[in-house]
Amino acid sequence: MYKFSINQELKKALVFFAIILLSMISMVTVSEIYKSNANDKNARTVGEMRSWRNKIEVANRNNQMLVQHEDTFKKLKDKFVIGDENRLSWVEVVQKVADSRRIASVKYNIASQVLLDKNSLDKKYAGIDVFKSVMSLEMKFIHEGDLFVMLNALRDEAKGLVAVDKCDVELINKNVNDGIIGENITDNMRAYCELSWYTLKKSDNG
Amino acid sequence: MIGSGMKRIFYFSGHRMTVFHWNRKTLSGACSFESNVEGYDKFKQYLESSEKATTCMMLDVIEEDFRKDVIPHVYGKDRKAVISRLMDRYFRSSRQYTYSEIQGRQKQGRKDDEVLLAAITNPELVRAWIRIIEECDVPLSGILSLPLVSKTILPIIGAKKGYVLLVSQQVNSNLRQTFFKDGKMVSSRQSVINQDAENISNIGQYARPEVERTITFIRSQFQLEDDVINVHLLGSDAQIDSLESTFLSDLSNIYQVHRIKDLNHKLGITGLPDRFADGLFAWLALNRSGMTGHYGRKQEFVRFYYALASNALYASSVIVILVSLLLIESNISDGISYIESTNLLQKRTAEFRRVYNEKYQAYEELFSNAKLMDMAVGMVEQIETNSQITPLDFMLALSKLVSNPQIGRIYIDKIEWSTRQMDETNRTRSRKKPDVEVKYKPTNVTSSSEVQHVAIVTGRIPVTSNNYRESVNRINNIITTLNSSDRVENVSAINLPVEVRPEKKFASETRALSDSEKDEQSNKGGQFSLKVVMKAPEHV
Repeated sequence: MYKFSINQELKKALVFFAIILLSMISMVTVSEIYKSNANDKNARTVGEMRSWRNKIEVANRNNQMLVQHEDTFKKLKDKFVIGDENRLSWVEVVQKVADSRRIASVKYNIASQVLLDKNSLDKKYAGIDVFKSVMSLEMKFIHEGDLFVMLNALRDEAKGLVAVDKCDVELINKNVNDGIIGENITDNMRAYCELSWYTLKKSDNG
Repeated sequence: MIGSGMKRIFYFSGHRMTVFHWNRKTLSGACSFESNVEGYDKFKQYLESSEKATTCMMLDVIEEDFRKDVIPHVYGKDRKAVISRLMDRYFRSSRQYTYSEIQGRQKQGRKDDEVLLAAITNPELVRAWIRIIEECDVPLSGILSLPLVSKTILPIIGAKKGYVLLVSQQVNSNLRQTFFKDGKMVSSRQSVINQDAENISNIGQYARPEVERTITFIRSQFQLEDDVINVHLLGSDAQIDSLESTFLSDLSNIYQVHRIKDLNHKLGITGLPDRFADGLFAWLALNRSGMTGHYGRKQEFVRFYYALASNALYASSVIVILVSLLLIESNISDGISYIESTNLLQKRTAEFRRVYNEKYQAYEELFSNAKLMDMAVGMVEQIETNSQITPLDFMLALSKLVSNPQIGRIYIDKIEWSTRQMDETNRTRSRKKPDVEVKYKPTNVTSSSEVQHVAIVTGRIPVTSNNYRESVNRINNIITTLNSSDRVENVSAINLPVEVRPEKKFASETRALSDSEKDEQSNKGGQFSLKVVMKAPEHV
């Protein structure tokens, strides 16, 4: 019976192969690590470079925005749209129109300023707090033109940003429709309107 | 010693073991060992002193027998079993030194396979030498049969087709005759001749009777009475004259004599003595294609397999080194590229940083407000746009509509004006499903959704006493006229002077009236309330 055994030559070849294999694996691994480290550093540098490039691009964009909106923004601040509201200006305009148009009765009421719910605003305005003050205006006047002069004056002359929410206009003197106007009549019509004054401020987390 | 490029072969002729050393195509040396104790010792000394290079052994012995037989056409294990039974029957004592070769199929009958069986009838003759080879740890790659190898010479001498009898002499005392049919070996025999070792020029007279005897045997054995047999004789320069004068062709036997020197030249081998053909066959055996030997036990070749495995491992090592070097080179090249790229990127980064620090860093705080400024301006623009939907706009539009002569006289007593805004979330859904109702919500002036006027308009129309149909017609006419306007989205009735709608209650009184009562009723009666929804002006 032949006895199986690995001969010396094969043993030598096996050992040689094993040594070569291990040493080559080691060398390849070392070269892989070298490549990987170089690649990582390269990737980090690419990231850093992009970050600086982006900063410059963002700064450029911001600069353009500043140039574009600087004047408008300044006007809005002067008009008390941005910052604190200027109620006195509104009242002055109301009184001025009432006097100049000789409006029989003008009653007004300004409610406390409230902060609008963030959820009701578009997400793109997340950095801004929007405040609203509701002004109710009750008038008695001869002609509907008086009402519109009042509303236009508030919009154009008063310091602030206003929008009319609702307006009820009623004819008191039904004879007007038939062209009969009394000599001392001062209040053919009455109106009740609600206006909202908006002011904008930078949000605390904006 | 056997250096690189050197090959050797053991050639055993039965009486003597000859070792041929080849350096590429040149015979660089040969040595012989007699089959006796002294020869064995010398052979052992030779093997121990020489490099243990892989060597094959070729046998040209009289103790080799050939048989042609047929077996059923089967494959695999069945074929092996059938052949094994044949070997047991014919060569029981030879077992490990047998060889079989399927040479084709019969064309008629059962179409059985034709098989050539070969065996060394006295294996101990060979084993004595193999034991020495094993003791000396020399890898033996195979044990070959000269008759089986000799078919490789047929293309060289132009004898691939027909019946061919190849006659050659490897030692002075023997004559080898191998018979082929269409290039396939059929039988072979070695016959002893009493030729003088010194004078081989009279080979003709010794060979002729043997060849004639063989041809007679072949013709009777294989029924070749009418067929031509091509007899090819190999001879040295000294033998050519004798062979050519002795073997003269006739109608049934064609003799061709080949000079060994010419064949060597044809094969490009040099350094061979042309006395006999042993060197020529040794070369053919050494350069045969494939690794399969003809005889021997597996254990006899285990050193060869080890040597093969060792060589494979060395070759693998070289491949591993080459592949690794390629990978290393690739990795290092990539690494260097990355480093170079990193250096360039660092320079660019430094430049970006410098530009930013010089131009923009001082304004960082200012820039932080730019977006806020953009947002604020955008929002104010949106509020201003939506605030253009005013009661004045509505009243002007309504006034224009009711001035239409088709409507006739109408009194507007009260307008309750407000706005509404389309719910964009519902609108998105409604685009996907057109049948979903569009929904509205209270106006949010910061939103860019469409804003519409909504007003309850209360008024009067002059009515004729007890003429309900005219009142209904006028109101319907007003609603239709308002609805026909591009600005008006929808007009719906809330209260009508004459309620003929099934969901409403209606009560009235019919009696005779004076003229003044009729005028009063005309002014006071005919009251209505309409809900008018109007679109924003086009410029908004």
